[in-house]
Amino acid sequence: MLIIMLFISICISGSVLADSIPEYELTNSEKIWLLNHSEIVLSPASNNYPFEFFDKNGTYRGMASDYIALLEKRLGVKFRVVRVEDENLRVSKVKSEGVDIIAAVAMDEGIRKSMLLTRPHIVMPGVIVAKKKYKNINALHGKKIAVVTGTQWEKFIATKYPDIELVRVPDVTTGLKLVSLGPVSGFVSDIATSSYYIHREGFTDLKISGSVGKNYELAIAMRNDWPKLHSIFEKMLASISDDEREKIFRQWIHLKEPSLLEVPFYRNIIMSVFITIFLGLISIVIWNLTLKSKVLKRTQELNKELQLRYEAEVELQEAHNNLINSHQELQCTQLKLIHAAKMESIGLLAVSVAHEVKNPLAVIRLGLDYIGSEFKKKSSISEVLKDMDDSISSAASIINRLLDFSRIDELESSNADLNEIIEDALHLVEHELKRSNIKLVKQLDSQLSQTNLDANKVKQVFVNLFMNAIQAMGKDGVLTIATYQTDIGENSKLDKIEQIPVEAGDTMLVAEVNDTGPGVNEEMVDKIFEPFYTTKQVGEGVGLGLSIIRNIMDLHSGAIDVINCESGGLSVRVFFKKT
Amino acid sequence: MKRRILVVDDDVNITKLIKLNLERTGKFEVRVENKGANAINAALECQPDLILLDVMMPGVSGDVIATQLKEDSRFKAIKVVFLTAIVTRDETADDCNEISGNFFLAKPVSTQDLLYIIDKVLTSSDTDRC
Repeated sequence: MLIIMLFISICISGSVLADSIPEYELTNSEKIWLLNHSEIVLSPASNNYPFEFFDKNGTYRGMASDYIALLEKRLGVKFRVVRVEDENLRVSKVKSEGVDIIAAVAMDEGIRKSMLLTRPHIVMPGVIVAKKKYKNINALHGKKIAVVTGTQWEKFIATKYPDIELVRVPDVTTGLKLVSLGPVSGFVSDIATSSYYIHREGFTDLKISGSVGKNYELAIAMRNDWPKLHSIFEKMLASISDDEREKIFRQWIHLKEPSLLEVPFYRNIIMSVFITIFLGLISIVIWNLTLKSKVLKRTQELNKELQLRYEAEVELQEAHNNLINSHQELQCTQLKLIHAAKMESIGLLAVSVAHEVKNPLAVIRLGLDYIGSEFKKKSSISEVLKDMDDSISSAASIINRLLDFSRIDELESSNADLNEIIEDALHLVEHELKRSNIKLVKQLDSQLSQTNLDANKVKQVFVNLFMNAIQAMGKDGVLTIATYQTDIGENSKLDKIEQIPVEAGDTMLVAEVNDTGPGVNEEMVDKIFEPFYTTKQVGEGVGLGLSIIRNIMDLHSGAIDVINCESGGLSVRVFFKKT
Repeated sequence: MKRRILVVDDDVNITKLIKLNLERTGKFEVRVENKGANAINAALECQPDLILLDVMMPGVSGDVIATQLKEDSRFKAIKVVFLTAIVTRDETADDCNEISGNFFLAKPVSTQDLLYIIDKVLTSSDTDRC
């Protein structure tokens, strides 16, 4: 608020100045004077901030400079600027006619005597610069106030306010520092100088606190033998509008406290923070890129490792499969060995049993013969003896079958017709089929190839199979016998056979014996080929039939399987590889 | 003239009953021997036309005795028929009951089979075998 009021007072003082000289057209004599004085020398102060000074490039600048520029523009002249560092010499040069004009001098009685002065063109209120708010200078009674030595403010305060303790300082910056650091309560100067230095030096804690009730007035001074120029300047200054004044004022006077960014200290800190953040970000980006590269490398390594592991797994899988195959082969071999061992022990058992049992049977039979010859005429006794003899035959046949079984270890093979063998076997069981009223269905393939077989042993296989089927069906069954020839292959009826190794393209001769009996319990399917396994009633068989069959098929490198038919009954298939 | 038959079997009951059944026909004079080791001496003593010889016997077995008989010229004329429990009747069931040049009878043998084979062997000459 104080600042606004001060600014308004500045504008009003300018307006008053303009209003007092409404006429600013140059007279002819003034124009002629200007033409005759083509070179007018101007000597500005070097460092009277912000009124006039030379910048780093040696260019003349400041508020007064702007006024001079306006005057030059309106008059159509160019003043020659001469730089004189020594302030006293500069003023004396005007006096001694070395310099023609000075753009900004304080309205001083001494100067007024030796030079012509225009009315003040720059009027700046005196202000108190402090940390706290002081309404006016009276509020500073008894306090320490800093002023720059030799300025009008030193004299003014010493004279007008003797209660205030004056602290004299060599320059504005020192004065402001004392206020900022605390030894003095305020610093007195004009508003332009104060605000300029506060802004330039970055005193963010200082502000324009109050008015001192006195202005600092600057005018243009010139040689006192040039009244024409004085008249011309007066007119020109009067022609400067309020807007132009305000523009010049705003360009040089910063009424607001400087922002942190404008303060070198804070700016440096902020810059440091930004640079640190920027460097941090760059580090993060570089680190990120490095990390990415590492991740990529590691990913590639992992992929490679994964590939190796995959290959190892495949190898392991192959090894595993080989092991499984070997294991199956071993199991197969083991089963064969067990089977062979069984067969060997059965062989020994058979011989032993045959000897031990058949001798008593022989005694009984010979005894019966003798008794029979004694009682020939008594038919009832003959009948009993006949029954006893039948039993001996039955017992002997069991022993014989055991012997048969134990002896099957080699083949007498020749090229044979499977269909013929089946017909021979059927012939042997013809009587049994009739007795049980079993219907026979033959589906024998007339194109069946011949192959190398032991016809007698294969006949034994079929006789056994037919007898099993007949016994399983009992009365009124249907016995179906089929033969066919097929090649091993994906599109064929057969693609593999469990018990024997076959290759695609092998030709197999197959015979199927199907009955309409009760079939076999699924759990027992694997066991029915074991020696002495039987489902028959006691006296019907000892369970050697299927194991004999299996043995004969093994000797032929053939196979046999047993399936319960969906429609009931059992289907037995025997396979011979065509050689 | 009765034919002389020597029956060699370690089973006393078998030799006894074969003797009874054969002699009962009136055609044969039967001597029995239950020890394989005595078989050769028994054959020398009785000079049989035919020997019924058990194969599996403790001590000297039937096949050893048969070999000795075959190698001894004194027994050249004697026919040998083996009695065995480890040959099935099917194996000997052809007309001449012959396996590899030897005659076999499978136990439990019936008197009928005995008479048949004895008659067959004794009436046939060596060259007349089937």
